Amino acid sequence: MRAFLQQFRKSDPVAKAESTPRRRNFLEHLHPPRVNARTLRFRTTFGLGLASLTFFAVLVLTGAVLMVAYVPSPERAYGSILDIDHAMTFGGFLRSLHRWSAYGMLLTVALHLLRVAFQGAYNRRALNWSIGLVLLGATLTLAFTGYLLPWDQRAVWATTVSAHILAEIPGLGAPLRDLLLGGEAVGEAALLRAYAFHVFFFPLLATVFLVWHLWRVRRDGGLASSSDVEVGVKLDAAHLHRREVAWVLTLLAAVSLVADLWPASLGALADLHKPDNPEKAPWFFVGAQELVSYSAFVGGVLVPAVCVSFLAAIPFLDRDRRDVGRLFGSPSAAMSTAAAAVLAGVVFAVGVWLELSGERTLDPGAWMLVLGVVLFLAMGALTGSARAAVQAALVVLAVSLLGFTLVGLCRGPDWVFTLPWEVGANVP
Amino acid sequence: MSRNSQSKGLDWLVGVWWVAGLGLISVLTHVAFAEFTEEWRLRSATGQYVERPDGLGDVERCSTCHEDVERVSSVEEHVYLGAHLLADVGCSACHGGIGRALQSQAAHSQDETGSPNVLLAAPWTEASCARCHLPGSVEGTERLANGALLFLELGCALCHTPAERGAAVSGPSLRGRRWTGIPELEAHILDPRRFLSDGEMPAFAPTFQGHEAELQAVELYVYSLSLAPGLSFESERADPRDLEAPCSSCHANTPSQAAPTPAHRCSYILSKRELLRCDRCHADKAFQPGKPCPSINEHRSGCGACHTNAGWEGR
Repeated sequence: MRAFLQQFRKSDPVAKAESTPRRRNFLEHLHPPRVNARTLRFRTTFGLGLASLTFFAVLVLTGAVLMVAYVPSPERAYGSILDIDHAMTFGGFLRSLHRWSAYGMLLTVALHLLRVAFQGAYNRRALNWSIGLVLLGATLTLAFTGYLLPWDQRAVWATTVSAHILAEIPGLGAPLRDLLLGGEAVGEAALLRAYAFHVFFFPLLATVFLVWHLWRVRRDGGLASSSDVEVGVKLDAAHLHRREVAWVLTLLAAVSLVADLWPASLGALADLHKPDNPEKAPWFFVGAQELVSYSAFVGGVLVPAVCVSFLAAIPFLDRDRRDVGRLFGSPSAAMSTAAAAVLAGVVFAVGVWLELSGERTLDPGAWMLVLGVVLFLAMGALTGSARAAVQAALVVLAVSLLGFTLVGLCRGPDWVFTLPWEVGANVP
Repeated sequence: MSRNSQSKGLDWLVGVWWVAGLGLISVLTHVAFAEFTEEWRLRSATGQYVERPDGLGDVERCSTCHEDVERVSSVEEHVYLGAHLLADVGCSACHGGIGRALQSQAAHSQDETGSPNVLLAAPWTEASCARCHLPGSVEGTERLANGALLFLELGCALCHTPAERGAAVSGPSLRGRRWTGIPELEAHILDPRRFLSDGEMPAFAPTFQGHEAELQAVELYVYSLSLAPGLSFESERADPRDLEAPCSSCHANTPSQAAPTPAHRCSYILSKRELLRCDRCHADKAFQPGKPCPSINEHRSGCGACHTNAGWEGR
């Protein structure tokens, strides 16, 4: 075995790269030629950015192939998906890969945002943080528009539910819904628009912002860290490349395995006159639907507005340069964040329990909103650390998103709370 | 980090490369193997365009394996095809399955939701007739019609209403209910407590003791409710959404409204009145031609027993 590995060491690209003079490469505008040891550690980033990028690449490639078989018209869309699944060579696998990569990307993009936020890596990088938020919006829009394309019962009614949530935004909602759907209801225009958004406009937007996002990381001097964090010696990027290849291979193997084991589902053909009971938004919007089921204004308008404003404002709220790059900041900030997480969990559980037992005093969405604001102000006042305040509010946001999504997934007929193994459960 | 520890790190990385790379190759090999060992690949795929009204089946590839499909209209079991041109309805409108699919398993499953297909052979294929026809309105749907009548007469329709309204005790709607097969359906009829220990539904095992044909008719009818409606070809199978208004305008629920003059509008019930047997439940009552049923309000939910179109139960 040692002799076997020795062969690799002889042709070790790292050793080779470090011993030969460098040639400049255009891609080095996006990818560093030299990195420090900290960048190489998995737990610095958990590889979440690269994971999102990998899933995006898989999505572009599989999506391009699926485009040759998919027909975006209400009469033929469902049939063309059946053809892809059951007659096109590798069609079913490609569609499954496309769907699982989309779910993977949603997950890793969200975790990437949390990782950056909890490391304080937005510090002095407000522009790139904002670009990242645009990319988050593009990812959600791509997932949302892609959800409609199969034209099955779930697709059509999930889009209808989401469009209704969107239309709750005062003044802006109805025009936005009309722009997305090409009308008030899901129909032929909505499908064609979803298709155009899904295969052209938003992939283009995402690609442009993605390149800008990567270039900004490079311009800002690599991964964010305060000077008091040990950055280590600069090493040739070949070290990074080898780790990246390992991670990408792992992700590709994992997503292929999942796609092979659990083919993408397809429901019954859409019936525009008959919704199922319950009819749910796509799973990544089920949390919003759950909030809207309490109150259209709080869930559909107030909470999203506050969350988006808060996320956009983070780099300006916390300008403290200490402990940047350190997960959860200083030990005291980490402790206060953990306390906020526990408190958020308890308040969420109590709020939802009161709601489910019919003894509602306040909309659970409003509960969490108030908690987030109170914790933000209290942490800021108590610890004097903007970082701790931001983290406390973020933790409330994360716990709420997770919690409301889980409760929403457990909604059965007539939006009654139904556990997944109970009769009538409808977990997408 | 020293050069040495970097090298160790790289050894570990090479391991990841191998495991992930081999894993990826294995998965892709499995996908390719599954794809190219499909049974149909021994033949060349053929299909035909089917002018189906439900929008689902414009292409069917059944003839890839079922070479006799072109000659099927001459086969005796396919009497119904006399009225249905193969090019109009195809195979899957009646037999279920995914007409577009080439893989045997998918082609023969009931639909994309994966429930098994019981429609492939008689007697269950008759259930498909109810997708477009009112039970009993066309030749060959006699068992289905009997099942629909039994569903009314045994009181099933009182609880299993299409819109879960108008009944004192409400059971779940059977529209679109997915069954894993006839055995599950039968068990639900004969011994429902097995599935819902505190349910209100009585066990029908004693009722059907020695009446296997009737049990099969009810099963056939209930199974037909689970099927997606096709297009209403015939005016007699009106859209139940249109029936809503006449029902409520005739059978007023509140005393303040004009006294009902229940000249029942459902031509189907009137045309089948000699088959209706009120005395199955009400020993002292018989259906009297020309006289409307005085308890029609209680039986209102029965409208939906036959008018199986979807849409009525929209929330």
